[in-house]
Amino acid sequence: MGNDASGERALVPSGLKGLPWFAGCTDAQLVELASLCEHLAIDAGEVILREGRLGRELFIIVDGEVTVTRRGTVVNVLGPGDYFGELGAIEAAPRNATVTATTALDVLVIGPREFDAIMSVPAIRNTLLRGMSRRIREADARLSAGDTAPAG
Amino acid sequence: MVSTLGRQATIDRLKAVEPLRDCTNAQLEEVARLSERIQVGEGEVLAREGRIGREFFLILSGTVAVTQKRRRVNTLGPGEFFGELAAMNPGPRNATVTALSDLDVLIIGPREFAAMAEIPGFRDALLKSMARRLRTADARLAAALDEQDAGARRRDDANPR
Repeated sequence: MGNDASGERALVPSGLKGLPWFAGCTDAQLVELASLCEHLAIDAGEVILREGRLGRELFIIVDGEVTVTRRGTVVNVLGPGDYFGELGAIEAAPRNATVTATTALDVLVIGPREFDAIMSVPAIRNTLLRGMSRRIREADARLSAGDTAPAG
Repeated sequence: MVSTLGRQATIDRLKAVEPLRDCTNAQLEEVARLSERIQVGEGEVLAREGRIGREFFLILSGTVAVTQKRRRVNTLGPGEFFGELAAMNPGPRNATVTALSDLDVLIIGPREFAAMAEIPGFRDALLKSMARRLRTADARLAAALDEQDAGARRRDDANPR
């Protein structure tokens, strides 16, 4: 994974409960989810995802902040409750952005097999699907707004 | 010109389609129960850019053109689908979809779509399709920004201060 983070397996269901990803889950589901997620502490300045490298993990930020950069340009800043890496969890491919911790970070890490398991929970699946569909709409809107190329 | 076909024939037909290939017969029966199978003639418009629509479409046979502002952005064929954004999140269609040939297609309403997403094979196909769309959109945006930067540099070079 290329992650030099110091890790600790302190799985806290109540910590999960505050996250939008798991907002629709029952307490029983949260307990089960805690066993599927790895809970990691990452130092400020650590590179979590590297553009162009293969990676399959999904990350959900419990606390802290990251910057998302593409070819050196900051394209997004993410904080508690936000997630990244989901495209790689869905299908193996080179990461399309670099994600760096700008503060000390508390994250949940979900591997591809565990990702498959949580996708079978409707509440969680729908959160991701809605998020992805919103981003597709936004990307399409930006593309058609800036699109001045001649019709092909 | 639209007609409907029987459910058993549909179940046999569904198994041939990529996202449903690994489904059990019980799951296929569920899909058949949740969907409506229709025949659509060449030239018919199934979704109109800017108009509200909530249905999801899965192509069993035939091909469609996907256009945005009258530019072709994609062509879809058997086993491929469209309309999932509006099925998940109400909103205007972001593309027009027109039948390029006669079509055999499954239509699924938004409530039934949520139930379809329970089926693992279908859910995986949906997630992968959306992930690929996001990757493509990101790549296109990056290319558009590169093009803008290159254009700005060319203008600067042409007009030295």
